[in-house]
Amino acid sequence: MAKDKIFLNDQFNQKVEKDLLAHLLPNKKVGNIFIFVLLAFILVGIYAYYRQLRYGLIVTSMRDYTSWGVYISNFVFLVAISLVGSLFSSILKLSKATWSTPLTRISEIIAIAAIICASVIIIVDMGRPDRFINVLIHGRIQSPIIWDVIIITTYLTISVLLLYISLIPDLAICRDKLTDAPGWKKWFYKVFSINWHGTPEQNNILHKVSFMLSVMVIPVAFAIHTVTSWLFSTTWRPGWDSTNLGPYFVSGALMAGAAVIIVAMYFIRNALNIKEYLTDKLFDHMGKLLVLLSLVYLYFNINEYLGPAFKMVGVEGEHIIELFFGKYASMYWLVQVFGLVLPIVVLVFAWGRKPLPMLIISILVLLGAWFKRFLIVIPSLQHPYLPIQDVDESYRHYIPSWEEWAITFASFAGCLLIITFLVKLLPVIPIWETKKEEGNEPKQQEV
Amino acid sequence: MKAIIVTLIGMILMGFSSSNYPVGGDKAPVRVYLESFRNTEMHQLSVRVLAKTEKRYLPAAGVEVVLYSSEITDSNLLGTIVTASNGLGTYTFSPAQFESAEKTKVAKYFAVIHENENLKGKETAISVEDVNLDVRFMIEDSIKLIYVNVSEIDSTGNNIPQEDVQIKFLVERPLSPLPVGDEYNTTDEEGNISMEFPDDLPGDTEGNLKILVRIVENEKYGSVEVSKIMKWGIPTFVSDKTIKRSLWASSANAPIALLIFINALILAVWGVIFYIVFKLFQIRKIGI
Repeated sequence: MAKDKIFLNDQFNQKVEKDLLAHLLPNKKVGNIFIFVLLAFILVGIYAYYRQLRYGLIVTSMRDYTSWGVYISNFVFLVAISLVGSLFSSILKLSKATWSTPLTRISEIIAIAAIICASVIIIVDMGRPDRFINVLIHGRIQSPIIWDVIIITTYLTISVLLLYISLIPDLAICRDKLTDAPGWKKWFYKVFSINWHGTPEQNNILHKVSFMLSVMVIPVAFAIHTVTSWLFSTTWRPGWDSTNLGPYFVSGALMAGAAVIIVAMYFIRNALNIKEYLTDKLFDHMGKLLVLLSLVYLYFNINEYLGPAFKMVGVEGEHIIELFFGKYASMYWLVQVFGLVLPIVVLVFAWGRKPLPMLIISILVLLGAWFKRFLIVIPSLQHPYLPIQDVDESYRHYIPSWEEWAITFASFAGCLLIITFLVKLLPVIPIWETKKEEGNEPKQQEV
Repeated sequence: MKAIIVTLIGMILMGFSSSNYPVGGDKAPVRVYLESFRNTEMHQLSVRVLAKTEKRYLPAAGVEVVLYSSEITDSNLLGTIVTASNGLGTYTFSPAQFESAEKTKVAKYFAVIHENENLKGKETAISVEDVNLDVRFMIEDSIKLIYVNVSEIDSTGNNIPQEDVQIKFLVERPLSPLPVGDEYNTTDEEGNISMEFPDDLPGDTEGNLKILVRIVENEKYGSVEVSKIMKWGIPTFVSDKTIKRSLWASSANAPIALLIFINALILAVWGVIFYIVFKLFQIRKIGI
């Protein structure tokens, strides 16, 4: 009986390895056209950035009032997306939600790609990027911008470590099994599997550091988006002068993070043909998680707008009127209805948690999340507490220039390119954890 | 692919590059502007140098400009200046030169750029006439008034009033002078002009303000200034908080609690990160 079990487990493990390593074999040309499309977007973005460096920020539509434009809203969006790494690698892992195990690596890859692109976009926003080093040399420790620089660097390092540590046993499997891989890939697997043989001593250290990182990433992840929110709340502008901004940003980020995972799951499972691992059941779990996170975000949204809308004091009141009934009203209500309320309504039903409806809803959530950041940044800047006398009319409006759009799309393309590269290089589902949990040692019950 | 990458890097670097004039090849033509500024304590000559680059004249940095008075001879040499990155340079007269210039009715000054490997030579001159800028500060019926008279002294020692001379009223502030009163003020046929000084300007702790009255960039006189410290401002008491360690202080005066807190956090988190990296090396060693 015991021999039969071992035999079955071996068979299962061999199948897991075969399925999850298949896309790394040299004969699989997954997504080459997609890569060329992304590179085209990036090249257009680089040309737009060249123009920005050559002629200055005048090529953007940013002026004295709207000095943070689409770049900063995009930065906030990308930082929000990056929080997904901590959600899966830490929060769900530590709460023993083992159903989320197949998603940990995807979430870590997305987190790294997003935080790299967020860092790049903040440099792009600078008129003189060659002076960035001065921020580090002459920065004031009291400035939230310095806190942001510190926390982004720290979070990127931890995210890379989170991805890497959980990868080590899988890299060893790649090293041992992918003997037909190109030379550079074999070199990569050999060097970065750091002599992993799964000895009890190695396992012990790996579990220890993995747990340490899982615990440490939670405050760092919360800090990264809270500090980003402080960039706004410590600036005296209508709509930003709020103590609610930290949790409001964090809850919105976790919601957007869950949505991006669903979109990634949908395309990865079809592109790599791994529906057996990224199952419909997994979509169902993610749907429930997204409803929960949307409800939390809805709660903070109500908190954010109810107070100022009740009091309607001065410029705060003008800001609210502009959002609710003014020139940003259509964007505001589309975001709230399709990006927040509709997902809650649809995903509470089981039919709404099937892969295709989930994909559509998640895309709506992501679009809503991006435009929400636009609504947080731009309308507030157009209503300063101390307006300029006889202000130029162009200061009162903000429609991003083609250069800004090109760079913004290039940042998305860059993010997707990093994800695609890592998906083509690494097993996207943790093989060793899948083998252990579903094969040899099913220690934990699915929750 | 390599060619594309090289081209892209080149394009980006071009965005950063800027040169004031071509190095090697043709010598760039230059333009030089000379202005005079004097008050009761000093006399300055300001030079602005532009060099032609890519069909446009741009500020030229590091250009040596030699200044002379009366005529271009060694005995009339005032001094030499080198332009800064904005193409500007300022020469301040020595006490002896200042004293000598004060006695001159009509002074002539020359700025000379000698031809070098990058730039063509150029010289320019201005003449500066002596002028009498008489300023009186009065309080009439609690109204603070500034009376100004501009005149020249002719060869017989008589005052000749000067009409249509533009005057600016300013108050010294930490970054740049604050204009007060109307934007354009010109003297009448008697050479007179007056202005009502505002009551609501903050001064120092005793209410002192340094009031500047200027003839600005006049064709005959250059810029001429008379200044006086008057107790015409509102006394301002600077709170002690600004010099204590506060969130809005300079980085050197950051709150100690904040310094301890942030540095402890950074050390703790990065300490764990380095510990984990150390452990990864241990894993590698065990596997050998």
